[in-house]
Amino acid sequence: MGPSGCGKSTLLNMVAGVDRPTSGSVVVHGEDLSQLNETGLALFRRRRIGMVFQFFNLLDDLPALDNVALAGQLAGVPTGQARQRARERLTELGVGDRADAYPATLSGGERQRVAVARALMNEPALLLADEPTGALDSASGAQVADLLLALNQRGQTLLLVTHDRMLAERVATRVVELADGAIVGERALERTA
Amino acid sequence: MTATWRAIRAAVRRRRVQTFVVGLVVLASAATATVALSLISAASRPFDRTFDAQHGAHLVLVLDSTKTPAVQPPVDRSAGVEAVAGPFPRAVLNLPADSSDLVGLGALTVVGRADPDGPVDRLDLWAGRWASAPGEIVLNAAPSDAESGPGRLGARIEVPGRPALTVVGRAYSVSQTADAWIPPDQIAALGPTTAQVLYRFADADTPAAVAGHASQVTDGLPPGALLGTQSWLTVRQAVAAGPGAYIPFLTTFGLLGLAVAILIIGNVVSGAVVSGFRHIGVLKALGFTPRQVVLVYIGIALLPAMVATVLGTGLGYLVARSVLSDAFSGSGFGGDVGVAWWVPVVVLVAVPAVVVVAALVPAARAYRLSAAEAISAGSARRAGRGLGVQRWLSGTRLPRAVSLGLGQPFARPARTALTLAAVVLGVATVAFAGGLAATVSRYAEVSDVNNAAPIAMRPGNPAFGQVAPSLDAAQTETLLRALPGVAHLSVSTVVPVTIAGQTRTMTGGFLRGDTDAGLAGMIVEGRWLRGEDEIVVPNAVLNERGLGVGEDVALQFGERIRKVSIVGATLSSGVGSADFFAPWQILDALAPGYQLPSSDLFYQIEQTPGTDVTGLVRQVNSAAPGLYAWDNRGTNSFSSSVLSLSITLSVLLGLVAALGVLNTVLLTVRERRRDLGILKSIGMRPGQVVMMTVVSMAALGIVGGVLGTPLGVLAHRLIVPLTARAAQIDTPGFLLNVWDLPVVLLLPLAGLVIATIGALLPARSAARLPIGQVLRSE
Repeated sequence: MGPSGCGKSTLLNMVAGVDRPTSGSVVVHGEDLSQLNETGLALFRRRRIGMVFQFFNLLDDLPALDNVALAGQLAGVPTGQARQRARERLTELGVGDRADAYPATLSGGERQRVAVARALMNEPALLLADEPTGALDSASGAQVADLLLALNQRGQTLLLVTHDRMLAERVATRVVELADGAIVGERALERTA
Repeated sequence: MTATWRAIRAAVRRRRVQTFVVGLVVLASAATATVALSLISAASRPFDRTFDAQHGAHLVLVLDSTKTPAVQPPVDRSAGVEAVAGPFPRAVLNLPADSSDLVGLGALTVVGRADPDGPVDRLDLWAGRWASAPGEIVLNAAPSDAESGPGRLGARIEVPGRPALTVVGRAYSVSQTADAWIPPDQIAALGPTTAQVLYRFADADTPAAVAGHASQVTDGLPPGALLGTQSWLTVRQAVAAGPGAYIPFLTTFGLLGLAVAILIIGNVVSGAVVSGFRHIGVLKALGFTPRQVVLVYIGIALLPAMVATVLGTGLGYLVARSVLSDAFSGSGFGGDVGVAWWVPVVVLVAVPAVVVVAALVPAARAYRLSAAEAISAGSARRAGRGLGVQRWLSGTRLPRAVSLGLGQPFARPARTALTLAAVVLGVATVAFAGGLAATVSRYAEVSDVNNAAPIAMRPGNPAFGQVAPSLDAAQTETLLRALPGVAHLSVSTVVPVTIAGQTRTMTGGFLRGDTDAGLAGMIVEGRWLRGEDEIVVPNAVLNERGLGVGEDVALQFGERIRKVSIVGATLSSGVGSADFFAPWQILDALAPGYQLPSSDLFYQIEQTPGTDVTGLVRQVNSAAPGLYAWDNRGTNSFSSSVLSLSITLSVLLGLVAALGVLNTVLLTVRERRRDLGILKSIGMRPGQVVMMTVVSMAALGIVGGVLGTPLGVLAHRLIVPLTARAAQIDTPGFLLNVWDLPVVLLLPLAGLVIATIGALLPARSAARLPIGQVLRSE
């Protein structure tokens, strides 16, 4: 948690191997990301990481099903199997009936659910979420918060970045506070729900 | 204006690669256009200019002076006659073979004229003075031949039985009415039997007009008095024939270059507008008027285009000067021919105008967009087109990077169409140039007498520091035939003669020995020599002189005349640029006892199968002193220059097409930065990014190749005959049927190569896109 510009997203991007640190190193699941080249980082993300963004970042030219299946296809899962798994993920997240819809026709909450489904497609060890409710109205935001909480309760490790204290207190079990690029506090939380 | 200029400068700086691509394409196009226009202009311009200045003769009549009165015909304005000069007495002076280094000709058509002026054919006396005393002569030579040409002032011409003549002046007749002039009262000593009358007409622009006038002015002449006529159009065509061969295909290359440039410029500017929606919105929000925004977007293309046009025109000017100098050097205009003043002006104005027009259409979109629309259009995400195709592709078993790449062209159909057009043009150019190269290569094979036999030999010429042969011609021939490994031997020489009735000297190629060895393969019409009184004429000469196979002509050497039949036409003029080929017996009949220097004989040797050419060359050289043989296998210089020219131009345009593709991929990559960032964030490897990007263009390359190949083949079939016709060469089928099925099937791969080369660089840069930065900024 922390205010805008404190370095939350940068931290998340470095954990995902999307940005590289200017000094020091990032070790995730025992892998030193600074030792990996671009291809190594891509494979690392594919196997270990799922990412959810504030603005969803879905591909506009593909329907929801293909957006989700794509993550599996890139990892080498055969097309039929990837589509089957994508359909299951969408159904689990409550948007199975919107599988053939294009992102432009989905609501904000639906888009974020599709984005979460895509992030979970390859069953990552770590799900990274960067302000996942930041672009949603409060009702949709609450739905997405519930979804993340449920995932975590089912055993999905989640690293969530937000400046929304209520969201953090609802979903997180541990909060690290940042300011000006440095950790200024850390505490364990009891979930409110 | 300052704000607009700043906005243009900033936009050009931000789009460095696009600016470079536009500049390069425009530079290449401007250079090609300058060369093409210069050649078209030069093919007739210097001749026409000089012809008008000299009041050139539209028609030269050669009359039998024994049958016509020696009085000047009246100027009959009702028959379109503007001016008449003559009759001037005319004689043919056959020079001894060893005097050719003095005047460069074996036979001189000498005309008696009192002065270089007159109503028609006002000679340019550019060196020395006019001949006025006995024993003085003025030679016809172009000023451009001042250094290299024959007949320096003071040179003496001595012909047995005729008075010696001293060159006192050099004058130039663009109408080619004579090789030399002497005072009228002196020509009697040369035994003139003919006279010439020179005409200028009010209208003589077409062969029909000249023929009509000729018919009118010769009407009423006594039977047999008219020996021949020469039209100014024939002389002009002969001058234009050399560079004429280059013009049609160079023009085609120029037009192709311009078309590709227009397409790429349209592509670049429309891309700039599309990818700059947000930029347009910001400009308008800052207070830029719609007109200023249009100016900015035209300026983005025009600024690099202007610089490139100036550089390209300069480059084209230099190339054109060199090409023109080479092409016209043998026609007497070498020193005179430059690039016409209007050519760079036209290119400097027209090319930027084309750029503005190409930029105007997409820039108009910028004009119409409101600030809010532009900003929201730039921010809003929208689905592309061709969604059905992309969806179908995603369900196929293709690797996902491949299916994503294949779907990309369908998302932006207009840009895809422009890229496709650039590739089609590129492939068509490659196919056309390949066909042209094959045609020229075949032409060289059958037309070059030098290559008819693998070994050639000339006896030594002491004037060039060589050893004079110890054997005479007959002994040399016997010696060569006796050498082991010699299968066929032919001997040839060139001797200038005239065709009775024609004013210009013709170079006769006389042959003996196994004369059909290799030479018969040159026949494109009729047949090769069989009888004694037969000649074969290169079809360029037939066309130029208005002769045809089957006609009879009278060859004249001095006072001897021999009637012969034209029995065949060849593709080219062969060794010594012969105007006709004839059996040796005709030379014996025309000039009995004519003493040829040994070094004027040209021997061609074909070896028996299995004989080593190099070894046989050595044998010939050591058989007797003064024999200089060489390995004669190779390509002639004309073929080489056309081949290298066509290859250079096709590579250039192929490169331009590849640049077009590169530009499209750059635009696509810029537009899809966010998508690429997303794909990489979910695990797309750099290799897969490259694969996807290259596949998206390779698919277009293959389609472009399939469409461009037949276009290129068609262009070859249409333009090569046109090219050949300009050079007065007929094109038999074997010159045009150069396309083998495997070649045609392989040609579409050129499109794939062009597209892949164009896509590779931006694909690699797409693979290196920093994901975090892209997703943050988008």
